[in-house]
Amino acid sequence: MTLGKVIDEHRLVVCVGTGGVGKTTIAAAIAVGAALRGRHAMVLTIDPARQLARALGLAAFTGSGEQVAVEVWQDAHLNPTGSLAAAMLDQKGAWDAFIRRHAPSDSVRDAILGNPFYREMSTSFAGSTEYVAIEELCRLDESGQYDLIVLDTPPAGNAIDFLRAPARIDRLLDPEVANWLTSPYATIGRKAWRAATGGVRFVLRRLERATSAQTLREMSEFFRAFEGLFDDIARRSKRARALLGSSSTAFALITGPREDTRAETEALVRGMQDHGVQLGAIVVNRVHPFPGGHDLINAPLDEVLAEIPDRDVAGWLQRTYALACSISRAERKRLDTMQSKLRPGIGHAEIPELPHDTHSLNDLVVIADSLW
Amino acid sequence: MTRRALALALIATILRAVLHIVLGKGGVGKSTVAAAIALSAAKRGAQVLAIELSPPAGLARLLGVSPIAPGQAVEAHPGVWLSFFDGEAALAEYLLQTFGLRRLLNRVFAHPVYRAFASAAPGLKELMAIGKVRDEVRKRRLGGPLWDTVVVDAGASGHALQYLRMPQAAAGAFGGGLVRGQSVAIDTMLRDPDRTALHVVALPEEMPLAEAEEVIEVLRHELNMPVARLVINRCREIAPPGTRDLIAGLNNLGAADLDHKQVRQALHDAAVDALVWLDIQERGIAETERHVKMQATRLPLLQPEPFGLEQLGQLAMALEGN
Repeated sequence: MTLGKVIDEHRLVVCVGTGGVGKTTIAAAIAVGAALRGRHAMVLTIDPARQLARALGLAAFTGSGEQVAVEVWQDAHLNPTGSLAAAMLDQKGAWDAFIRRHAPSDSVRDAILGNPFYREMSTSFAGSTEYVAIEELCRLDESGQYDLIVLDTPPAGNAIDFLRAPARIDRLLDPEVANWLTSPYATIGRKAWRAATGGVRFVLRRLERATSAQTLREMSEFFRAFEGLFDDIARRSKRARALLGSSSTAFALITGPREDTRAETEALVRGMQDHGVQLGAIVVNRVHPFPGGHDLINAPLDEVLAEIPDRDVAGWLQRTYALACSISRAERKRLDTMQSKLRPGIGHAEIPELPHDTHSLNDLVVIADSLW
Repeated sequence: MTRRALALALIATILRAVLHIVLGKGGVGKSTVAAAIALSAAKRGAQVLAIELSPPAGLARLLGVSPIAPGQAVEAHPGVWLSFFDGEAALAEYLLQTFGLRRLLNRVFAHPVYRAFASAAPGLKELMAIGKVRDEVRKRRLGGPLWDTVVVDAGASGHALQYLRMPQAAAGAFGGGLVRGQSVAIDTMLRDPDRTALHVVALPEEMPLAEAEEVIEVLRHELNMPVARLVINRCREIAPPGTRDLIAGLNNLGAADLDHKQVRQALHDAAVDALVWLDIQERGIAETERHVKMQATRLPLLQPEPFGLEQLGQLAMALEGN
């Protein structure tokens, strides 16, 4: 099945993958291709390069999203029947906006926004970027402005983090944790919980003394202020899970053809299975096709090289060609093995490497065309 | 001294450092460079510890061993040991050392409030992990240090900078206490070019080079850490003069039968592709060298398979200036 077909059949495409494989570019190309085919697409990126903004004719990516202007399409001699918007995830801004939307009063809002624990959590808590990306996704989905949303996920070392994010935030913002922190002497129920409680308090206090930080106090102040928001968070979290698990959502794995990405990719596929997520498509980016299109076997290579008058050039040519072939051969073997392991019905695409970074809208169209 | 003698003297200085930290964008070959540094030190007779600051990944694959528990060192080759550190485990170990009380602590570690605290206390896990690296550098055996060389694969640049930044941040954030003292000591070690060498790895392509420049900028001006060297991995062989003209006329040379034509087409395509990448490579490296005011160490693009000890040895030679 082509990747294009998978995209045509879904409203939401989540691009996951390890770092350095060109995930953001592929996410953008998917949205460009869909816009050319009549969809009203939005691509939500995490950490886009300036070149990508330039390719889409945007001065910069913003948190709220920008439409790609008609003139930009025209300059590239393209005439989309749909439309394309692009946004960048502004992690801090998105969390703050979330607090502003849900805080029951101005004083609660200010207490949370000014809390050091909140500031730390909203910028660097593991899973925080992922969580707020999912939250933004829900918002874009609810806006009803787009019939396709493509989400680029954070360049985490381990892309499974993305799937774990809602559970992690749930755990952190667990009312039981809040209870424990806000009402120190209340009876909290479960026996095991109580047994550990004294120890936890002891260790955390000592750890605080060692670090002379005030994390514990900040945490309990944060949770006290946050109490009114717990129901909202729980509701959003449930909605996010429903959206990610919905049949209109497809997960696309973006990977590379090199050996070093293979192990990470396999771990990712296993992790997705463990989380009950069906893989919708695999895109292998930056594949090196054989020079001339084929692996030439028993070809008169030496004869042709002997005809070249300059021995230095002939030598360079021979080494360059041999290296290119050995790269293509190794990739082909690896990709064939990978493909044979895929369950039928998974979308599959290979994108040949472009000899430069994505500089123009037409570069994205070239990639998109190899997806459909 | 000649330029080459100067370069070799510089490399000799770099190699004398005990701690080598390798960082760079995802997919540029950090682990490969770290493994090559480790093997080259071992070849000179050093006892080497290679460390991954993540669950066993690239280094484990390249060296062909995989430690099971964090902190455990496994011998991969004569003189080269591999270990991995995990921030959360390092924090737990720190607490166990400080308090004892293993049974109580194991319950504490499973507690959601502890977990929330450990995740949220600013950079505590990163600090503990880099602290473990310092512990290894300081370990002694009879008559000398346990390790002559410690090589750290610090992971993708964003996260790697986090490890390097933490000691400074912690020294500032924690008013007093035990952690502050240790943070200052770690930071001093990281900033001392006689003890620590930072290797920034990039590929000869636009984006990885741009990111390497940014990383070097942050290291030098924000963290005040000297960069020992910029390593450009997977460099292509420079084409001899006259290549372009020859390639342009290649299809008109020699026999006209299909087989020969096909070969010429394939050679032509391979050469044109390589020349485009060479342009990007040479322009990019020259520009980056100018921006960061240092000469890059080039590592050759090698056959992807087999990739093993022999290939790592070739890269080690290139790192040593041979």
